[in-house]
Amino acid sequence: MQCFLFSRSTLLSEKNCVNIRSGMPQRKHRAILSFVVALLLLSLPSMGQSAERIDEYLERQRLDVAQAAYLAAASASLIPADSGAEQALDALSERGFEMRQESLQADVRLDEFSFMLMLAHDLPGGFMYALFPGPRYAYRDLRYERIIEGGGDPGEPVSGRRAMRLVGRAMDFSEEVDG
Amino acid sequence: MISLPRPSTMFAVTLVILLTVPLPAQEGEPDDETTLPGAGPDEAEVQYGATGLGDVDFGANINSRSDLRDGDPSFRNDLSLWLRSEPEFRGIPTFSFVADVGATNISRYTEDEGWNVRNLADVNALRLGGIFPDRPEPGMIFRLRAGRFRASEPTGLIFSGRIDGIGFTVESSRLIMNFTGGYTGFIGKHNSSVSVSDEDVIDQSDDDVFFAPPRLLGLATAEIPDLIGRQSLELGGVIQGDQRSDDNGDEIQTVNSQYAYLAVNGPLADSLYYDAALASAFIQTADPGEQSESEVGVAGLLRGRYFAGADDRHVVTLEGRYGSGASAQTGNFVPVSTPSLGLLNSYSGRDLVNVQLDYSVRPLADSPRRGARSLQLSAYGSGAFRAVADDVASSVRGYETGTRITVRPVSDFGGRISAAGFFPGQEPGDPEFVGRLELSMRY
Repeated sequence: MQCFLFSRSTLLSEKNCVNIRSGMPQRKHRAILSFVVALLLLSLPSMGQSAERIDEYLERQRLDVAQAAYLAAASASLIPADSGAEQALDALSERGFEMRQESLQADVRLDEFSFMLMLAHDLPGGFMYALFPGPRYAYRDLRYERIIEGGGDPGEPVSGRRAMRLVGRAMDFSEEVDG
Repeated sequence: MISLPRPSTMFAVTLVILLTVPLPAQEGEPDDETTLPGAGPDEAEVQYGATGLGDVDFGANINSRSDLRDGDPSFRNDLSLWLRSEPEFRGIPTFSFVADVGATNISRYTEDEGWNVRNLADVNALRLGGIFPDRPEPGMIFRLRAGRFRASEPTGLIFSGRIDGIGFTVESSRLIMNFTGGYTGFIGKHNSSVSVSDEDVIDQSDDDVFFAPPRLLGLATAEIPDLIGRQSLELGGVIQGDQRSDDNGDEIQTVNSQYAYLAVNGPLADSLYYDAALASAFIQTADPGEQSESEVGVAGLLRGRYFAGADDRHVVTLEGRYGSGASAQTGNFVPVSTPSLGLLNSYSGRDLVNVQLDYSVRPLADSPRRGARSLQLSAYGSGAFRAVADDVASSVRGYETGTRITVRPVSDFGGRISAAGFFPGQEPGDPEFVGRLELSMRY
C-alpha cells in the first residue's frame, strides 16, 4: 500500500510515510564537494593526522564517548583537528554537555551523540529541548529533522560510519539553517 | 599567499573524501552496500544486542480539540502516557513492546442541556510484537503482533480502528499476506469507530454505555507490491460477527457481515497517482421476532492525487466514493466502521455517493527546517448524494466546504485550525458551521 506525503486522518503521525515523492529540499552536496576537493588540493599536507584518525573511526563498530566528542567538536570548529578527547569534552561541557557515562571508553549512545551534535553545531530544537536540553530530546529533534534516518533506539551504539553520516548531515543542516 | 582553510573545512574535506572512496569490506563485516532485510537508509552496521531487544523509551502526549459548532462549544482533551521498545529490524529476531494508556475529557455545551462533561480512561495500545527473518522459508519475514493495536483493510471502505487480538504477516519480495483476528467490545467507544447496527447507533449517543459495539472481526489481505509499472494489487476479506446480547434476555437486533475487496494503486504518470477499490458486502440482519434477512451491497472508491510545483508543494486530490443503498438491484452497503468524510459530513457510507475535491499547498516547502516545510494550507469541497433516488435533484444530501491550516513547527508541538460549512440538500435541516482548533504536545 502506498503512502502519501500527508495523511488527512492524522495530525501528528509518528510513523513517517515513505516519501514516494521527495519533499526534501535540495542539498548543495555537489557544490560543497567541488569546493572542498579544491581545498583538499591546497591543504593536503595538513590533512594527514586528521585523516588517519577519521580513517580509524570509520572502521570502528562502536565509537566510544571520547571519539564521539572529538567528531562533534572538531566538525564544528570548537577544537583544532589535532586535539584530544579531553579538549573536545571541555569544549562541549562549556556548551552544556554533562558526562553521564563512567568512562570515556564506554560506547557512546545514539542519544548522547545526538546531544553532542546539537551542542556543537548549535542546532535548533523543540520546546522540550529548550526546557530540558539533553540526550533524550536531542535524539528526538534530530530524528524529526531527519538527520537521524531510519529506525533505531536512542540507546544503541554508534558505528564510525554512521557517526560520519550524522556529522555530515548535521553540518549540512547547520549551514542551511544559518543561511 | 594562500591561507589555510578552517579546521571545520579541513574536517569536511576529509569526511567527503573518505566517504566517497569505498573501503574494502573485511571478512565478517558488512560494507556500505549491504542491505539487511527491513533496514532503513541509515542502518548501523552494528548488531545491537544478540537478542533483538531494544531500549525502552517513555513519554506523554497531550492532544486538545476545541470545536465551536453553530455557537455551541465542545472540547476533547486526551492525555496519554506511553512506554515502548521498538528496535529496528536488522536481520535477527526482533521483539517490540508498546503500552499506551489514556485519560480523556469530553465536554459539550448545548442550550437545551447545558454542559455535559465526561471523564474517561482507556488503554490506547498494549501490544507485543516479533519479527522473525527467514520464516517460514529462507528469504521471507514473519511478523507477529498481539494485544490491542490498530488494524485496517487497504480500501478504507470497510474497517479501520482498534482491535484486541492477534495478527501475523508473512512477507516475501513478491507477496505479502496478513491475517488479523480480534474483538472490539473491550475498547472504549470514544476510541472506536465501529457502527454497524441500529443498536450501535443508539449506544453511541447513550452516555451510560462505555464500551464499543461488541464485534468479532477477522481480516485477511494478500498484497502483490510492484505488480507491473509500480502498481500494487491487494485483495482480501473481512468477516464481522455481532456479539451483542441483551442482559435482560430480550431479543435485540444483530447484524453479521462478510466482505470481499479488491484494491489497486500506483502511478498513472509522473506526479499523478491513483487508488481504486471495489468491495462487496454480505449483510445478515436479524431483528427481534423476525427471520434473518440477507442483502448484498457494493461499494467503490476512486481517488486521484496530483503533485505539482517545486518540492511537490501543491497537491490536488479528487475522490469519488460509492456505497449502495437498498434498491431492486442492490442492498445496503454497511461498513464496519464509519468513514471520515469531512468535519460535518457524518454519513455512514451506505446509500451514498460522495465526491470531494481537495487542494493543499506547502508555501515553505523549500525551507531547510522541517517545521517550516510542515506548514500546509488546504481547502476542500464535497457533495454527498443518495445512491438510490428517483432523480438527481432528490438525491442531493448536502454540500460541505472547508479549509485547514496545519503546522508542526517543532518536533514536540503541532496544531491545526479548521473551519467548515455544511449545506443540506433535499434532506431537512439548516446549514451548519463549525470551527475547530487542534493542538498536540509531546513530552
